[in-house]
Amino acid sequence: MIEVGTLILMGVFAALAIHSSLIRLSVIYLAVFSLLAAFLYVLFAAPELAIAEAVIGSGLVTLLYLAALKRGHVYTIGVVTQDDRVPDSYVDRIERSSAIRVIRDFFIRREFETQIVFITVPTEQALVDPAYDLVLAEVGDDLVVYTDEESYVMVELELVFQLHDSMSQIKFIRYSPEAVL
Amino acid sequence: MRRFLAALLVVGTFAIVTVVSVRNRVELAPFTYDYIVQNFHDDTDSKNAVAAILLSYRMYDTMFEALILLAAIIGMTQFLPRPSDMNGDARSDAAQEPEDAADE
Amino acid sequence: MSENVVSGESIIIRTVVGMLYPFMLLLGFYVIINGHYTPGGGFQGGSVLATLFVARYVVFPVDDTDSERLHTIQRVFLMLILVIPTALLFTGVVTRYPALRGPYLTLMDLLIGVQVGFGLGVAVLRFAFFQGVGKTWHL
Repeated sequence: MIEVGTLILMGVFAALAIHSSLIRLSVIYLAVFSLLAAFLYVLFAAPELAIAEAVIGSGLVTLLYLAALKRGHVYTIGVVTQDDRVPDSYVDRIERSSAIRVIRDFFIRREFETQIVFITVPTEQALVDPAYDLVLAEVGDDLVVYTDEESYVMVELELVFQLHDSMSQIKFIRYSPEAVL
Repeated sequence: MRRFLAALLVVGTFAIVTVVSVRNRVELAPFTYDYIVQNFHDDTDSKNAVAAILLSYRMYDTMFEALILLAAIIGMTQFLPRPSDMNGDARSDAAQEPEDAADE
Repeated sequence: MSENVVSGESIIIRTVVGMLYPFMLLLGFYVIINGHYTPGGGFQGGSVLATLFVARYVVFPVDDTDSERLHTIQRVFLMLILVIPTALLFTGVVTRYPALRGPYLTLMDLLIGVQVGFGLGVAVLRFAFFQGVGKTWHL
């Protein structure tokens, strides 16, 4: 009876791992699937296989997947500040602003995790630094996004802003990377 | 419709394999099993039949399993670019480019 | 940027993994050495040892492990795994002298455990520290 229950749960988690919308969730479902398989091996009196499955399936393989995801899908946004130092209130205001939220949602839907870095270098230097994938700056009252002029995804991001009707807070400036260099 | 057909193919194959394997169940000759279960303790002084099989009766399996693992690791260390090389390249690039920008 | 940050993980994970570290080492060697009494053996214990490298990576993600040396050790152990059974088991020495059987099993378990542990550890570390061809995403 308990074997049948474990098997059904394994099927459920396998289906979840395939059909979940985020890869990160799929990895976790796969780890749970492995753990259930290890439990099933114990029920079928194969403890050696259970140990191997538990350690490799839900330990090493999960970590490998997570490391691969972490390596690939972090999108670094550099926020350029004009002052020499970055006060906490400024960080708070930028991170809570609706424009940043829209950008973050936009990248999460593309399976990219965003991290925001506040930098105090000149904008031209930030644009050529390969560590930052997208450069933002606050000029006057509104945020300015520097986007590659040949990038279609950035056009899409602009469209998203137009749909949300929040173009008043944000401006897009197109540049070509060769011209900056 | 295509997805339905694909699902039907998978489920149908699974059902056919299950039915065929249940109908024609192959009974293994029991001597090896009986011999190992009766004699493994006397032969190898082990209390765990799996360890006795892995390390004594089927030692070749274990040896070549270790060999395959080593071959996999050798392939990986040879064909993946080294982390130190990659770091060095990235760092030198990052160090050069801002200087160029500042010069201009 | 991320090179300056020694550990990106929370203090809870760091503390708990640090406390569990010696117990994981103990469990790995327990599984290896008791391979012929209890379930487990070289491969399983070696996998547990490989999780030690993983735990170290989670707590302290700095690539200072000399994976070349681990690889060399792994090759030496593989040579022992190939030589010792050829000399002892296939020539019939172990079958002739019953006193050798227990030590032989323990020795083989230890060799296989260390070989598998270092092998999987090197594999996981190489993939975890793999930088990729380029980091910037031109979307």
